[in-house]
Amino acid sequence: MLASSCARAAASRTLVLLCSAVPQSPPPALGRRALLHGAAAAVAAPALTVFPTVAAAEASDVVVVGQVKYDVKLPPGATATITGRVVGRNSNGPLATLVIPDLGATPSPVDFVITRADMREVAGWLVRVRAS
Amino acid sequence: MADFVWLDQDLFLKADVVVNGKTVLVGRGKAKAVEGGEGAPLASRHTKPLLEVKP
Repeated sequence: MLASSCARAAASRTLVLLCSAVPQSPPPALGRRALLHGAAAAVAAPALTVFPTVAAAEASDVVVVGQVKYDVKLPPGATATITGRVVGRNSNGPLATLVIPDLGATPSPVDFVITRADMREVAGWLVRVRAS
Repeated sequence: MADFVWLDQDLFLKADVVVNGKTVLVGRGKAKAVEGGEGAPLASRHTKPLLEVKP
């Protein structure tokens, strides 16, 4: 499937998304209100974050790290909206949303990081142990 | 509550590139949960690039 996708890529314009999920500790014992405040604060932060080192990423609240690759010239003002959903579960819309403004101004590949604060409603509600 | 993610769950990511309100490119990827649980180095992460081209 990947090979066929790559073949199509060679014949046309492409956009490739490379990503990985990073396991996290459960969120600190904060109330829902505190978590929502955390999400609001993240709105003012840069939408595109590049971690220079792996150590820095591991010490943060990173949920997904990835790259957007493209091989076409994008006009000014092109934005990339990255949304995340859980595999195999209907989450009634994206659980996480990250907007990369003016994607074309940054040479491909463009690194991106989705943090807990980019998650919907309850910022970064990750659960460590699955109940049986 | 729908707003949670198990640590061992994989995530589907979708990237839409929009120019002047029109979607010109769509990319999809699967973010695999890192094996080894908490503290696993990022170097051990799985990546699975997928690709979709929107005409």
